[in-house]
Amino acid sequence: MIEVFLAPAPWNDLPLFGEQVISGLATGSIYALLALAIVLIYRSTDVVNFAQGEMAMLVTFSMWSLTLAGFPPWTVIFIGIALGFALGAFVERTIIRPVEDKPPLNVVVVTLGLFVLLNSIATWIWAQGELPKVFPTPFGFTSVDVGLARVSTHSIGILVVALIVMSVLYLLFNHTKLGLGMRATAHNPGASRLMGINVGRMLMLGWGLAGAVGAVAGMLVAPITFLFPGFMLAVLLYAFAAAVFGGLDSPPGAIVGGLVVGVAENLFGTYTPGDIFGPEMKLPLTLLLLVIVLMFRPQGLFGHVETRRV
Amino acid sequence: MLKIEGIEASYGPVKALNGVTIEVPEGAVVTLLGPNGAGKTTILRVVSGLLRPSAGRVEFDGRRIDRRSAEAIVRMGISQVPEGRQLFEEMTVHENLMLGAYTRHDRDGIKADIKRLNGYFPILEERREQPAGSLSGGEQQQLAVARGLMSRPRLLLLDEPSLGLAPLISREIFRILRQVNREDGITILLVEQDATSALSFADYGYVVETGRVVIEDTSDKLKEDENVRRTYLGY
Repeated sequence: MIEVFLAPAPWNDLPLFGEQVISGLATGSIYALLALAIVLIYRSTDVVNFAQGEMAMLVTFSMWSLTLAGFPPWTVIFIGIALGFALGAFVERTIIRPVEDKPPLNVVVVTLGLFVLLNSIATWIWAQGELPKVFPTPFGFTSVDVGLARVSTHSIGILVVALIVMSVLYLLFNHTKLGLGMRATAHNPGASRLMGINVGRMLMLGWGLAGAVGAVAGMLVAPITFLFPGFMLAVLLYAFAAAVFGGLDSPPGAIVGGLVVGVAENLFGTYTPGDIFGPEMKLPLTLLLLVIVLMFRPQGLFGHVETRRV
Repeated sequence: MLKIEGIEASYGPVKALNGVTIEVPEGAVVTLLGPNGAGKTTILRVVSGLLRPSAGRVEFDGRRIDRRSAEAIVRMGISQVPEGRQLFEEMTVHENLMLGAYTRHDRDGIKADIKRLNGYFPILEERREQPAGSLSGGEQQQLAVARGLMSRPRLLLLDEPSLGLAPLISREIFRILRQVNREDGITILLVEQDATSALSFADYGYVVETGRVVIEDTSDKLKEDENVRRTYLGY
Protein backbone atom coordinates (compact mmCIF):
# COMPACT_ATOMS: atom_id res chain seq x y z
CA MET A 1 0.00 0.00 0.00
CA ILE A 2 1.25 3.44 -0.86
CA GLU A 3 1.05 5.79 2.01
CA VAL A 4 -0.29 9.13 0.94
CA PHE A 5 1.36 11.75 3.06
CA LEU A 6 0.87 15.47 2.78
CA ALA A 7 2.26 17.76 5.44
CA PRO A 8 0.12 20.64 6.65
CA ALA A 9 0.93 23.94 4.97
CA PRO A 10 3.87 25.80 6.63
CA TRP A 11 1.60 28.52 8.03
CA ASN A 12 -0.58 25.88 9.71
CA ASP A 13 2.35 24.15 11.39
CA LEU A 14 5.18 26.61 12.00
CA PRO A 15 7.19 24.31 14.32
CA LEU A 16 7.36 21.63 11.60
CA PHE A 17 8.45 24.21 9.06
CA GLY A 18 11.08 25.56 11.45
CA GLU A 19 12.41 22.06 12.16
CA GLN A 20 12.66 21.32 8.45
CA VAL A 21 14.51 24.58 7.77
CA ILE A 22 16.96 24.19 10.66
CA SER A 23 17.74 20.55 9.98
CA GLY A 24 17.99 21.50 6.29
CA LEU A 25 20.55 24.16 7.20
CA ALA A 26 22.45 21.55 9.24
CA THR A 27 22.68 18.94 6.46
CA GLY A 28 23.15 21.84 4.04
CA SER A 29 26.23 22.97 5.90
CA ILE A 30 27.68 19.48 5.53
CA TYR A 31 27.11 19.74 1.78
CA ALA A 32 28.62 23.22 1.98
CA LEU A 33 31.79 21.86 3.64
CA LEU A 34 32.31 19.15 1.05
CA ALA A 35 31.45 21.64 -1.71
CA LEU A 36 34.07 24.00 -0.23
CA ALA A 37 36.64 21.23 -0.43
CA ILE A 38 35.76 20.65 -4.09
CA VAL A 39 35.88 24.39 -4.84
CA LEU A 40 39.24 24.87 -3.06
CA ILE A 41 40.79 22.25 -5.30
CA TYR A 42 39.03 23.36 -8.46
CA ARG A 43 40.15 26.96 -7.97
CA SER A 44 43.77 26.15 -7.38
CA THR A 45 44.38 23.20 -9.69
CA ASP A 46 41.43 23.19 -12.12
CA VAL A 47 40.81 19.62 -11.04
CA VAL A 48 37.31 18.38 -10.27
CA ASN A 49 38.05 15.90 -7.52
CA PHE A 50 35.48 13.13 -7.75
CA ALA A 51 37.27 11.28 -4.95
CA GLN A 52 36.68 14.06 -2.39
CA GLY A 53 33.85 12.14 -0.70
CA GLU A 54 35.76 8.85 -0.66
CA MET A 55 38.82 10.53 0.88
CA ALA A 56 36.54 11.73 3.68
CA MET A 57 35.02 8.24 3.92
CA LEU A 58 38.42 6.63 4.42
CA VAL A 59 39.29 9.11 7.16
CA THR A 60 35.94 8.58 8.90
CA PHE A 61 36.45 4.81 8.89
CA SER A 62 39.92 5.28 10.37
CA MET A 63 38.36 7.42 13.07
CA TRP A 64 35.87 4.68 13.79
CA SER A 65 38.76 2.23 14.32
CA LEU A 66 40.56 4.70 16.58
CA THR A 67 37.40 5.12 18.64
CA LEU A 68 37.11 1.36 18.93
CA ALA A 69 40.74 1.19 20.06
CA GLY A 70 39.75 3.43 22.94
CA PHE A 71 41.02 6.89 21.98
CA PRO A 72 38.99 9.72 23.53
CA PRO A 73 36.51 11.49 21.16
CA TRP A 74 38.27 14.84 20.79
CA THR A 75 41.64 13.17 20.20
CA VAL A 76 40.02 11.12 17.45
CA ILE A 77 38.54 14.26 15.91
CA PHE A 78 41.88 16.04 15.78
CA ILE A 79 43.64 12.98 14.43
CA GLY A 80 40.87 12.74 11.81
CA ILE A 81 41.39 16.31 10.67
CA ALA A 82 45.15 15.76 10.51
CA LEU A 83 44.65 12.52 8.59
CA GLY A 84 42.35 14.30 6.12
CA PHE A 85 45.00 16.97 5.59
CA ALA A 86 47.77 14.41 5.15
CA LEU A 87 45.72 12.32 2.73
CA GLY A 88 44.88 15.38 0.61
CA ALA A 89 48.49 16.55 0.50
CA PHE A 90 49.70 13.03 -0.26
CA VAL A 91 47.23 12.57 -3.10
CA GLU A 92 48.30 15.86 -4.68
CA ARG A 93 52.00 15.03 -4.48
CA THR A 94 51.83 11.45 -5.71
CA ILE A 95 48.79 11.09 -7.94
CA ILE A 96 47.75 14.52 -9.21
CA ARG A 97 51.10 16.22 -9.84
CA PRO A 98 52.24 13.75 -12.51
CA VAL A 99 49.08 14.44 -14.58
CA GLU A 100 48.95 18.17 -13.84
CA ASP A 101 49.94 19.31 -17.35
CA LYS A 102 48.05 16.57 -19.15
CA PRO A 103 44.65 17.08 -20.84
CA PRO A 104 41.80 17.63 -18.31
CA LEU A 105 40.15 14.31 -19.11
CA ASN A 106 43.25 12.46 -17.86
CA VAL A 107 42.87 14.10 -14.47
CA VAL A 108 39.16 13.23 -14.41
CA VAL A 109 40.01 9.60 -15.02
CA VAL A 110 42.66 9.75 -12.30
CA THR A 111 40.25 11.12 -9.67
CA LEU A 112 37.59 8.58 -10.71
CA GLY A 113 40.20 5.87 -10.37
CA LEU A 114 41.09 7.19 -6.95
CA PHE A 115 37.39 7.05 -6.05
CA VAL A 116 37.24 3.34 -6.91
CA LEU A 117 40.57 2.62 -5.21
CA LEU A 118 39.65 4.27 -1.91
CA ASN A 119 36.22 2.65 -1.92
CA SER A 120 37.78 -0.77 -2.45
CA ILE A 121 40.37 -0.21 0.27
CA ALA A 122 37.63 0.69 2.74
CA THR A 123 35.53 -2.33 1.76
CA TRP A 124 38.59 -4.59 2.06
CA ILE A 125 39.55 -3.33 5.52
CA TRP A 126 36.23 -2.59 7.17
CA ALA A 127 33.51 -4.55 5.39
CA GLN A 128 34.15 -7.74 7.38
CA GLY A 129 31.70 -7.78 10.19
CA GLU A 130 28.57 -5.78 10.50
CA LEU A 131 27.74 -2.88 8.26
CA PRO A 132 26.72 -0.12 8.60
CA LYS A 133 28.66 0.78 11.70
CA VAL A 134 27.41 3.22 14.29
CA PHE A 135 29.54 6.36 14.39
CA PRO A 136 29.51 8.50 17.54
CA THR A 137 28.79 12.20 17.73
CA PRO A 138 30.29 14.30 20.52
CA PHE A 139 27.11 16.42 20.49
CA GLY A 140 24.54 13.70 21.19
CA PHE A 141 21.07 13.40 19.70
CA THR A 142 19.04 15.10 22.41
CA SER A 143 16.17 17.27 21.22
CA VAL A 144 16.17 20.86 22.33
CA ASP A 145 13.73 23.70 21.71
CA VAL A 146 14.93 26.48 19.46
CA GLY A 147 12.12 29.00 19.35
CA LEU A 148 9.11 27.04 18.17
CA ALA A 149 11.03 24.18 16.63
CA ARG A 150 12.59 21.12 18.23
CA VAL A 151 16.08 20.39 16.90
CA SER A 152 18.64 17.73 17.75
CA THR A 153 21.85 18.76 19.47
CA HIS A 154 23.79 17.07 16.67
CA SER A 155 22.20 19.47 14.15
CA ILE A 156 23.24 22.42 16.28
CA GLY A 157 26.73 20.93 16.61
CA ILE A 158 26.95 20.64 12.82
CA LEU A 159 26.00 24.28 12.38
CA VAL A 160 28.53 25.45 14.95
CA VAL A 161 31.37 23.32 13.55
CA ALA A 162 30.63 24.41 9.98
CA LEU A 163 30.63 28.03 11.06
CA ILE A 164 33.99 27.58 12.81
CA VAL A 165 35.55 25.84 9.80
CA MET A 166 34.29 28.52 7.43
CA SER A 167 35.55 31.33 9.67
CA VAL A 168 38.97 29.74 9.96
CA LEU A 169 39.19 29.37 6.18
CA TYR A 170 38.03 32.95 5.69
CA LEU A 171 40.67 34.29 8.08
CA LEU A 172 43.35 32.10 6.55
CA PHE A 173 42.64 33.20 2.98
CA ASN A 174 41.96 36.87 3.58
CA HIS A 175 44.14 37.82 6.51
CA THR A 176 47.33 35.79 6.32
CA LYS A 177 50.29 35.91 4.02
CA LEU A 178 49.97 32.18 3.38
CA GLY A 179 46.37 32.71 2.27
CA LEU A 180 47.47 35.55 -0.01
CA GLY A 181 50.01 33.24 -1.62
CA MET A 182 47.44 30.46 -2.00
CA ARG A 183 44.94 32.80 -3.65
CA ALA A 184 47.63 34.18 -5.96
CA THR A 185 48.60 30.64 -6.95
CA ALA A 186 44.97 29.85 -7.74
CA HIS A 187 44.65 32.92 -9.96
CA ASN A 188 47.96 32.84 -11.80
CA PRO A 189 50.55 30.18 -10.95
CA GLY A 190 53.11 31.48 -13.47
CA ALA A 191 53.13 35.02 -12.06
CA SER A 192 53.11 33.57 -8.53
CA ARG A 193 56.44 31.87 -9.19
CA LEU A 194 57.86 35.22 -10.28
CA MET A 195 56.76 36.64 -6.90
CA GLY A 196 58.89 34.02 -5.18
CA ILE A 197 55.94 31.85 -4.13
CA ASN A 198 56.58 28.13 -3.94
CA VAL A 199 53.67 27.14 -6.15
CA GLY A 200 54.08 23.39 -5.65
CA ARG A 201 53.87 23.80 -1.88
CA MET A 202 50.75 25.99 -2.20
CA LEU A 203 48.99 23.38 -4.32
CA MET A 204 49.88 20.66 -1.83
CA LEU A 205 48.61 22.80 1.05
CA GLY A 206 45.41 23.52 -0.89
CA TRP A 207 44.73 19.81 -1.35
CA GLY A 208 45.58 19.21 2.29
CA LEU A 209 43.12 21.87 3.45
CA ALA A 210 40.44 20.45 1.18
CA GLY A 211 41.14 16.98 2.58
CA ALA A 212 40.79 18.27 6.14
CA VAL A 213 37.55 20.15 5.41
CA GLY A 214 36.16 17.08 3.62
CA ALA A 215 37.08 14.92 6.62
CA VAL A 216 35.09 17.24 8.88
CA ALA A 217 32.09 16.81 6.56
CA GLY A 218 32.54 13.03 6.78
CA MET A 219 32.64 12.88 10.56
CA LEU A 220 29.58 15.16 10.81
CA VAL A 221 27.46 13.12 8.45
CA ALA A 222 28.45 9.63 9.62
CA PRO A 223 26.44 9.77 12.90
CA ILE A 224 23.28 10.39 10.80
CA THR A 225 23.76 8.00 7.88
CA PHE A 226 25.89 5.44 9.76
CA LEU A 227 29.15 4.22 8.35
CA PHE A 228 29.53 2.06 5.23
CA PRO A 229 31.87 2.41 2.24
CA GLY A 230 29.27 4.26 0.15
CA PHE A 231 28.02 6.63 2.82
CA MET A 232 29.54 9.77 1.25
CA LEU A 233 28.08 9.14 -2.19
CA ALA A 234 24.80 11.00 -1.74
CA VAL A 235 26.64 13.78 0.10
CA LEU A 236 29.10 14.08 -2.79
CA LEU A 237 26.24 14.37 -5.26
CA TYR A 238 24.58 17.12 -3.24
CA ALA A 239 27.94 18.82 -2.69
CA PHE A 240 28.62 18.86 -6.43
CA ALA A 241 25.17 20.28 -7.04
CA ALA A 242 25.90 22.92 -4.38
CA ALA A 243 29.31 23.79 -5.83
CA VAL A 244 28.03 24.12 -9.37
CA PHE A 245 25.01 26.07 -8.20
CA GLY A 246 27.16 28.52 -6.24
CA GLY A 247 29.81 28.74 -8.94
CA LEU A 248 32.66 26.18 -9.04
CA ASP A 249 35.29 28.85 -8.44
CA SER A 250 33.57 30.64 -5.56
CA PRO A 251 33.94 29.59 -1.91
CA PRO A 252 31.02 31.79 -0.72
CA GLY A 253 29.02 30.24 -3.57
CA ALA A 254 29.75 26.75 -2.25
CA ILE A 255 28.43 27.73 1.18
CA VAL A 256 25.26 29.38 -0.11
CA GLY A 257 24.79 26.52 -2.58
CA GLY A 258 25.12 23.92 0.17
CA LEU A 259 22.60 25.64 2.43
CA VAL A 260 20.11 26.14 -0.43
CA VAL A 261 20.40 22.49 -1.45
CA GLY A 262 20.02 21.28 2.15
CA VAL A 263 16.92 23.36 2.84
CA ALA A 264 15.35 22.70 -0.57
CA GLU A 265 15.89 18.97 -0.09
CA ASN A 266 14.08 19.02 3.25
CA LEU A 267 11.23 21.19 2.08
CA PHE A 268 10.65 19.10 -1.05
CA GLY A 269 10.73 15.99 1.12
CA THR A 270 8.12 17.43 3.45
CA TYR A 271 5.81 19.46 1.26
CA THR A 272 5.56 17.70 -2.08
CA PRO A 273 2.01 16.39 -2.39
CA GLY A 274 2.20 12.70 -1.51
CA ASP A 275 -0.43 11.73 -4.08
CA ILE A 276 1.82 12.98 -6.89
CA PHE A 277 5.41 12.52 -5.65
CA GLY A 278 6.66 10.61 -2.67
CA PRO A 279 9.42 12.08 -0.49
CA GLU A 280 11.81 9.89 -2.51
CA MET A 281 11.51 12.48 -5.24
CA LYS A 282 13.26 15.14 -3.14
CA LEU A 283 16.66 14.53 -4.75
CA PRO A 284 15.48 14.84 -8.38
CA LEU A 285 13.30 17.82 -7.48
CA THR A 286 16.23 19.55 -5.78
CA LEU A 287 18.45 18.91 -8.76
CA LEU A 288 15.73 20.14 -11.11
CA LEU A 289 15.60 23.41 -9.20
CA LEU A 290 19.35 23.80 -9.68
CA VAL A 291 19.16 23.00 -13.38
CA ILE A 292 16.55 25.72 -13.80
CA VAL A 293 18.77 28.26 -12.01
CA LEU A 294 21.79 27.22 -14.09
CA MET A 295 19.83 27.71 -17.30
CA PHE A 296 19.70 31.40 -16.48
CA ARG A 297 23.11 31.66 -14.81
CA PRO A 298 25.40 29.02 -16.29
CA GLN A 299 28.42 30.16 -14.26
CA GLY A 300 26.50 29.60 -11.01
CA LEU A 301 25.29 32.20 -8.55
CA PHE A 302 28.69 33.62 -7.64
CA GLY A 303 30.89 32.11 -10.33
CA HIS A 304 33.02 34.17 -12.67
CA VAL A 305 32.73 34.20 -16.39
CA GLU A 306 36.21 34.02 -17.85
CA THR A 307 36.97 37.55 -18.99
CA ARG A 308 40.26 38.99 -20.00
CA ARG A 309 41.35 42.44 -20.96
CA VAL A 310 43.44 42.33 -24.09
CA MET B 1 76.55 41.23 -12.19
CA LEU B 2 74.65 38.97 -14.59
CA LYS B 3 76.55 36.72 -16.96
CA ILE B 4 74.76 34.60 -19.53
CA GLU B 5 77.12 32.23 -21.32
CA GLY B 6 76.20 30.23 -24.40
CA ILE B 7 72.71 29.29 -23.29
CA GLU B 8 70.53 27.09 -25.45
CA ALA B 9 66.87 26.42 -24.74
CA SER B 10 63.88 24.93 -26.49
CA TYR B 11 60.12 24.65 -26.19
CA GLY B 12 59.50 21.01 -26.95
CA PRO B 13 61.08 20.28 -30.33
CA VAL B 14 61.45 23.99 -31.22
CA LYS B 15 64.82 25.44 -30.41
CA ALA B 16 64.43 29.01 -29.19
CA LEU B 17 68.00 29.89 -28.17
CA ASN B 18 71.19 28.88 -29.95
CA GLY B 19 74.06 29.83 -27.69
CA VAL B 20 73.37 33.31 -26.36
CA THR B 21 76.03 35.20 -24.42
CA ILE B 22 75.13 38.43 -22.66
CA GLU B 23 76.65 40.44 -19.86
CA VAL B 24 74.91 42.98 -17.65
CA PRO B 25 77.28 45.02 -15.45
CA GLU B 26 76.11 46.32 -12.06
CA GLY B 27 74.16 49.58 -12.29
CA ALA B 28 73.77 49.42 -16.06
CA VAL B 29 70.71 49.44 -18.29
CA VAL B 30 71.04 46.81 -21.01
CA THR B 31 68.48 46.21 -23.72
CA LEU B 32 67.69 43.28 -25.96
CA LEU B 33 66.33 44.23 -29.39
CA GLY B 34 65.03 42.04 -32.13
CA PRO B 35 61.96 40.91 -34.02
CA ASN B 36 59.09 38.93 -32.55
CA GLY B 37 59.99 35.34 -31.83
CA ALA B 38 63.73 36.00 -31.85
CA GLY B 39 64.08 34.59 -28.33
CA LYS B 40 64.26 37.76 -26.22
CA THR B 41 61.49 36.72 -23.84
CA THR B 42 63.01 33.24 -23.66
CA ILE B 43 66.28 34.76 -22.44
CA LEU B 44 64.42 36.51 -19.59
CA ARG B 45 62.55 33.30 -18.76
CA VAL B 46 65.84 31.45 -18.44
CA VAL B 47 67.32 34.14 -16.18
CA SER B 48 64.27 34.21 -13.88
CA GLY B 49 64.20 30.43 -13.63
CA LEU B 50 60.92 29.78 -15.43
CA LEU B 51 62.75 27.82 -18.12
CA ARG B 52 65.77 25.52 -17.77
CA PRO B 53 68.43 25.99 -20.43
CA SER B 54 69.60 22.80 -22.13
CA ALA B 55 73.17 24.11 -22.37
CA GLY B 56 75.25 27.03 -21.15
CA ARG B 57 75.24 28.78 -17.80
CA VAL B 58 73.80 31.82 -16.06
CA GLU B 59 75.69 33.51 -13.24
CA PHE B 60 74.44 36.18 -10.87
CA ASP B 61 77.04 37.79 -8.61
CA GLY B 62 79.38 34.96 -9.53
CA ARG B 63 76.91 32.30 -8.39
CA ARG B 64 75.42 29.88 -10.86
CA ILE B 65 71.61 30.23 -11.00
CA ASP B 66 70.48 28.27 -14.05
CA ARG B 67 69.62 25.21 -12.02
CA ARG B 68 67.77 27.09 -9.30
CA SER B 69 64.03 27.46 -8.88
CA ALA B 70 62.22 30.68 -9.80
CA GLU B 71 61.44 31.25 -6.10
CA ALA B 72 65.09 30.97 -5.12
CA ILE B 73 66.10 33.38 -7.87
CA VAL B 74 63.62 36.03 -6.67
CA ARG B 75 65.11 35.69 -3.19
CA MET B 76 68.58 36.27 -4.61
CA GLY B 77 67.50 39.68 -5.91
CA ILE B 78 66.20 39.25 -9.46
CA SER B 79 62.69 40.38 -10.27
CA GLN B 80 60.84 40.05 -13.56
CA VAL B 81 58.07 42.26 -14.89
CA PRO B 82 56.65 39.76 -17.35
CA GLU B 83 55.28 40.29 -20.83
CA GLY B 84 51.57 41.07 -20.77
CA ARG B 85 51.96 42.23 -17.15
CA GLN B 86 50.51 39.03 -15.63
CA LEU B 87 48.81 40.83 -12.78
CA PHE B 88 46.54 39.08 -10.31
CA GLU B 89 43.54 40.70 -11.93
CA GLU B 90 40.87 39.70 -9.44
CA MET B 91 42.95 40.82 -6.50
CA THR B 92 43.30 44.41 -5.37
CA VAL B 93 46.11 46.78 -6.28
CA HIS B 94 47.34 46.59 -2.70
CA GLU B 95 47.30 42.79 -2.68
CA ASN B 96 49.29 42.77 -5.92
CA LEU B 97 51.94 44.96 -4.28
CA MET B 98 52.00 42.74 -1.19
CA LEU B 99 52.52 39.73 -3.44
CA GLY B 100 55.48 41.53 -4.98
CA ALA B 101 56.92 41.63 -1.46
CA TYR B 102 56.11 37.97 -0.78
CA THR B 103 59.74 36.98 -0.13
CA ARG B 104 60.25 39.76 2.42
CA HIS B 105 59.50 39.72 6.13
CA ASP B 106 60.22 43.31 7.13
CA ARG B 107 56.73 44.79 7.61
CA ASP B 108 57.95 48.32 8.16
CA GLY B 109 60.23 48.19 5.14
CA ILE B 110 57.36 46.93 2.99
CA LYS B 111 55.13 49.77 4.19
CA ALA B 112 57.83 52.31 3.48
CA ASP B 113 58.40 50.89 0.00
CA ILE B 114 54.70 51.02 -0.85
CA LYS B 115 54.71 54.65 0.22
CA ARG B 116 57.76 55.40 -1.89
CA LEU B 117 56.24 53.67 -4.94
CA ASN B 118 53.01 55.59 -4.45
CA GLY B 119 55.19 58.65 -4.93
CA TYR B 120 56.35 57.27 -8.29
CA PHE B 121 52.88 56.06 -9.27
CA PRO B 122 50.24 58.18 -7.48
CA ILE B 123 47.43 56.36 -9.30
CA LEU B 124 48.19 53.18 -7.32
CA GLU B 125 47.37 54.93 -4.08
CA GLU B 126 44.06 56.14 -5.51
CA ARG B 127 43.15 52.69 -6.81
CA ARG B 128 44.49 50.79 -3.79
CA GLU B 129 41.38 48.70 -3.09
CA GLN B 130 40.28 48.17 -6.71
CA PRO B 131 40.83 44.88 -8.52
CA ALA B 132 43.93 45.12 -10.70
CA GLY B 133 41.90 43.93 -13.71
CA SER B 134 39.76 47.07 -13.58
CA LEU B 135 42.73 49.38 -14.20
CA SER B 136 43.51 50.88 -17.62
CA GLY B 137 46.40 49.44 -19.61
CA GLY B 138 48.81 52.19 -18.54
CA GLU B 139 47.82 51.87 -14.89
CA GLN B 140 48.23 48.11 -15.06
CA GLN B 141 51.74 48.52 -16.45
CA GLN B 142 52.60 50.92 -13.64
CA LEU B 143 51.31 48.37 -11.15
CA ALA B 144 53.33 45.61 -12.82
CA VAL B 145 56.53 47.68 -12.52
CA ALA B 146 55.73 48.65 -8.93
CA ARG B 147 54.99 45.03 -8.03
CA GLY B 148 58.30 44.02 -9.60
CA LEU B 149 60.13 46.56 -7.44
CA MET B 150 58.43 45.43 -4.21
CA SER B 151 60.82 42.52 -3.77
CA ARG B 152 63.68 45.08 -3.61
CA PRO B 153 65.51 43.51 -6.53
CA ARG B 154 69.05 44.41 -7.49
CA LEU B 155 68.35 43.31 -11.06
CA LEU B 156 65.04 44.13 -12.73
CA LEU B 157 64.01 42.22 -15.87
CA LEU B 158 61.47 44.11 -17.97
CA ASP B 159 59.59 42.49 -20.82
CA GLU B 160 58.00 44.98 -23.23
CA PRO B 161 56.88 47.55 -20.67
CA SER B 162 55.62 49.90 -23.41
CA LEU B 163 53.58 47.33 -25.33
CA GLY B 164 50.11 48.65 -26.14
CA LEU B 165 50.60 51.93 -24.29
CA ALA B 166 50.08 55.45 -25.58
CA PRO B 167 53.46 57.14 -26.28
CA LEU B 168 52.95 59.66 -23.50
CA ILE B 169 52.36 56.96 -20.91
CA SER B 170 55.23 54.81 -22.08
CA ARG B 171 57.54 57.85 -21.90
CA GLU B 172 56.41 58.39 -18.31
CA ILE B 173 57.18 54.78 -17.42
CA PHE B 174 60.66 55.05 -18.92
CA ARG B 175 61.22 58.25 -16.96
CA ILE B 176 60.40 56.44 -13.72
CA LEU B 177 62.56 53.47 -14.67
CA ARG B 178 65.49 55.81 -15.26
CA GLN B 179 64.93 57.27 -11.81
CA VAL B 180 64.80 53.77 -10.30
CA ASN B 181 68.06 52.94 -12.04
CA ARG B 182 69.91 56.12 -11.07
CA GLU B 183 68.60 56.80 -7.58
CA ASP B 184 68.03 53.28 -6.27
CA GLY B 185 70.92 51.75 -8.21
CA ILE B 186 68.80 48.96 -9.66
CA THR B 187 70.35 47.26 -12.67
CA ILE B 188 67.95 46.79 -15.58
CA LEU B 189 67.73 44.25 -18.39
CA LEU B 190 65.08 45.44 -20.82
CA VAL B 191 63.38 43.63 -23.69
CA GLU B 192 61.70 46.13 -25.97
CA GLN B 193 60.07 46.27 -29.41
CA ASP B 194 60.29 50.03 -29.56
CA ALA B 195 63.99 50.31 -30.39
CA THR B 196 64.01 54.11 -30.34
CA SER B 197 62.87 54.30 -26.71
CA ALA B 198 65.02 51.34 -25.74
CA LEU B 199 68.24 52.77 -27.17
CA SER B 200 67.67 56.20 -25.68
CA PHE B 201 67.12 54.56 -22.28
CA ALA B 202 69.80 51.86 -22.27
CA ASP B 203 73.59 52.12 -22.05
CA TYR B 204 74.25 48.97 -24.02
CA GLY B 205 72.26 46.82 -26.41
CA TYR B 206 72.19 43.37 -27.95
CA VAL B 207 70.33 42.56 -31.16
CA VAL B 208 68.87 39.05 -31.02
CA GLU B 209 67.72 37.27 -34.16
CA THR B 210 66.58 33.64 -34.45
CA GLY B 211 67.97 32.64 -31.09
CA ARG B 212 71.42 34.23 -31.28
CA VAL B 213 73.07 37.59 -30.70
CA VAL B 214 73.91 39.19 -34.06
CA ILE B 215 75.24 42.59 -32.94
CA GLU B 216 76.14 44.09 -29.60
CA ASP B 217 77.43 47.54 -28.78
CA THR B 218 76.82 50.68 -26.78
CA SER B 219 73.49 52.31 -27.48
CA ASP B 220 75.13 55.27 -29.17
CA LYS B 221 77.06 53.02 -31.54
CA LEU B 222 73.96 50.90 -32.26
CA LYS B 223 72.01 54.01 -33.20
CA GLU B 224 74.69 54.72 -35.81
CA ASP B 225 74.78 51.16 -37.15
CA GLU B 226 73.47 50.93 -40.69
CA ASN B 227 71.59 47.65 -40.20
CA VAL B 228 70.10 48.53 -36.84
CA ARG B 229 68.92 51.84 -38.20
CA ARG B 230 67.29 50.32 -41.23
CA THR B 231 65.70 47.34 -39.50
CA TYR B 232 64.78 48.62 -36.06
CA LEU B 233 64.81 52.39 -36.10
CA GLY B 234 63.22 52.79 -39.52
CA TYR B 235 65.32 55.54 -41.07
